[in-house]
Amino acid sequence: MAFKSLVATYQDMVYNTALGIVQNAEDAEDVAQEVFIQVYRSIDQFKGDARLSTWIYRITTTKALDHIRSRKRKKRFAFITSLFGPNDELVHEPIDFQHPGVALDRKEQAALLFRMINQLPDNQKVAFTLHKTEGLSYQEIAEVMELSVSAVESLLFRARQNLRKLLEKHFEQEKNAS
Amino acid sequence: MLGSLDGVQQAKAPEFLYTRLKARMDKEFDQGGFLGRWLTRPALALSLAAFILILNATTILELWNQAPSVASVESQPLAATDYVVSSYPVYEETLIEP
Repeated sequence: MAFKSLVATYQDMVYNTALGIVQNAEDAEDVAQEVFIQVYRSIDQFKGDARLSTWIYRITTTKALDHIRSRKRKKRFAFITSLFGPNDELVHEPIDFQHPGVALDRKEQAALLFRMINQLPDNQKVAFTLHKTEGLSYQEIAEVMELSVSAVESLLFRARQNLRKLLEKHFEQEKNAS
Repeated sequence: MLGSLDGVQQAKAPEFLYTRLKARMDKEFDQGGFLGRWLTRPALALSLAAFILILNATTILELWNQAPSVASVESQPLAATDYVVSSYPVYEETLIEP
């Protein structure tokens, strides 16, 4: 019963964080389930020196990154086995991710930004996603990632710089193509 | 463009997440059982693997260093008789003398 109430309390937080990182609804639910199974198994290891939400955020980001790595491995294998589906459609074609919480007039821009976020190094991606989609402060991100606040500031600064470069490159390629 | 995620609303978890989670947990916990989960714990599995490797290495080293014993040398002809290992050609036996 206590576990059910824990899931009810944190499910949106876990799902939204996972969704921001894995950028796929089905995968995000899978990650959310894995997170709660991990919480159930290791709740006795929770020392209480951090907030429960911080601990759950930490598990979520780790599981989400693991999920991406495993998906990449599967994709590499799938690329070798087959590039095309039964109807000759290209399988594993990356589809732009649409976050359900983004305002309608920003959907297209947000989808492009998510595509660029996907290209960031893991720690920059996690910090940026926690900041943008979960609205966590630098202090909270530092606690989740077990870093200093200045390290988080630096991570987010580099993330923005990289995103700017990636977007510039994207628009330049688009301009050359047209 | 970088601000396009500003003020994004939190996505809601899909409905009946708990029901699906509970079903998955029941399935996973039933499959392994207590012994299965205990045996597949990384610490135990690694310790067992290390123990078996050490046991193998010790046995190989012991065999390597062991000189052939007198008893084993003596028992060779006996074993040859038991297993009918003869060194002479079989044609010699069937030779018919005139």
